Amino acid sequence: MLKVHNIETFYGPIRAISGLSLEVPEGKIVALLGSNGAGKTTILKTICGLLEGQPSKGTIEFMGTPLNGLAPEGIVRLGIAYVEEGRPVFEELTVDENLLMGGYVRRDVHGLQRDRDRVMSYFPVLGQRRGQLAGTLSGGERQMLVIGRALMARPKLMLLDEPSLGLAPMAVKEIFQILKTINEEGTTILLVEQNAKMALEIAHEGHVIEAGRVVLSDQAKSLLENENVRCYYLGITGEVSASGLKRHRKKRWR
Amino acid sequence: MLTQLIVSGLATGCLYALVALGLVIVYKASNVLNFAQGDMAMVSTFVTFTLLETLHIPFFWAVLLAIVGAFLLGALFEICLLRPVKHPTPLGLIIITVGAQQILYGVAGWIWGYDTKAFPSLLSDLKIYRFGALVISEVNLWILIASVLLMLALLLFFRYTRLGIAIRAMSQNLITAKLMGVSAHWTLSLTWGIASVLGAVAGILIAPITFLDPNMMLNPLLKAFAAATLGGMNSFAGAVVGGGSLGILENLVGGYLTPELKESVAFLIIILVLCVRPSGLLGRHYKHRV
Ligand SMILES: Nc1ncnc2c1ncn2[C@@H]1O[C@H](COP(=O)(O)OP(=O)(O)O)[C@@H](O)[C@H]1O
Ligand SMILES: [Mg+2]
Repeated sequence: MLKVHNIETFYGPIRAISGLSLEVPEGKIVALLGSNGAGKTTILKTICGLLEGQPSKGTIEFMGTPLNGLAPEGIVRLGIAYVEEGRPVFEELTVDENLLMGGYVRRDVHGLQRDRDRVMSYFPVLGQRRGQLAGTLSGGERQMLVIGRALMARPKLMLLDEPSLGLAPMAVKEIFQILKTINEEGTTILLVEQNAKMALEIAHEGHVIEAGRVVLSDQAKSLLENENVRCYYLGITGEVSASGLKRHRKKRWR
Repeated sequence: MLTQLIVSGLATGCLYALVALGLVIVYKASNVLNFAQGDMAMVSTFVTFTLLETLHIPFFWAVLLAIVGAFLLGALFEICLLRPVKHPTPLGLIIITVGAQQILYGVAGWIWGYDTKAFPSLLSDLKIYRFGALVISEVNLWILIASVLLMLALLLFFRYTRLGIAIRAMSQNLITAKLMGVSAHWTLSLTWGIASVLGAVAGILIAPITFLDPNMMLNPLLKAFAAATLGGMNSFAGAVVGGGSLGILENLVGGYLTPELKESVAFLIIILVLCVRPSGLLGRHYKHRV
């Protein structure tokens, strides 16, 4: 569905993504893992056309349409929704108005009504806060709102950037459960996470990103069992010494 | 006496509020203080004058045409002067609007001259309506009616239409709005067009009182800036409240103290309010919670 081929993205002279390729098959949840500064957000921004003039090399294709050079407004109209990191709601709009903005590209009033009800059924707390300004919501509620807002566009592909960051474990659990449901109902998901365990539990495939490259790709199940991933991203230490792992990692991943 | 002063003050205040609303709408959407807002309105008022006096178009149609013209002027302003600037600084943007104001002022003086003209109006300052003890001139009555209707239309537009909500969303977070599929360019031009129309209506309503010359909007613009700041530069309701209270305040001081001090005292009060509430009466700032 989404094919990213050998892209390079620069911030001025600094290269943040170098020769990265990635595929998101239709109907799947694909997780992008990686530590802070690995380039995960940059990848999503490049896909959405938010970085002007980028990628400077390589191609991005969505369902056969090349995205290179398109403006973000055009890209989202193709059926890509991007849930940014930091859950930026429109603070001075109500919850309802935020959802309405999510469906901005659509004209079918009845469909919108139905989808709003669907979002409210996923996140009942949003239903209770419909008339409330989004700026007054809690972190978890904001995350639900930005996901709900993205759903209003009825996207074919949803990009999510660290939806769990800074949330209470209960809220994270609820949100990931809904993501799984959303996927089962037909939306493909590209999920960026530092919370590798949660992400891999719902994902089908995973890629580990380091310094702007994919260093490891596998089925989510295998990644969960992978020793290096367990050590570096799941915080589970095996019996191998840390220095041994480091050498091991360098050899295999770079 | 008190009600009388309040009502006529409110009429003036409505004009301030219309211009202030134009400033606030643009400020929220583009982060620019538009110093050309007054002279855009002045040009539109002169256009109305030409349509009426030279082309002898009936009043209603002349005003309608002028309003369409004002919309185009505002939209073109954004397209020609702001859009080409790739990475603007706040100061650079201010200089652009100040520059545009100078251009409009000069061109207006060149076309229509600097001498004061009488604006042909159907409304008279001398004709008077009585509502019980309250006396109100025809001009003031129409100012009140037209402003209130316009503000109401604006309120409905920003509250209930898809486009109006998109403008508010864009003002709050441009990138996220783009990700919703909002075309930032055209929405921004539309915003400038609306602001220009607000100014034009204010200009056409003021003209019968102040007469017509290229300086006519100088004082109203200054008052509108004060009103917008008083109400809160990022609040639509603030512009209305700020405009209304400034108009009433001036009139009360003028009526009970002395007309000479009406502006001094009004601005003194504004300064005091801003000391206590720096973001204005209704200016709101949400802290980002994580
Ligand atoms: N606006 C920017 N200007 C310059 N460098 C940036 C900018 N945004 C991110 N970077 C750099 O690009 C790299 C990748 O950042 P990012 O994509 O945000 O990482 P992640 O989302 O994986 O934490 C980092 O080294 C970061 O410092
Ligand atoms: Mg990031």
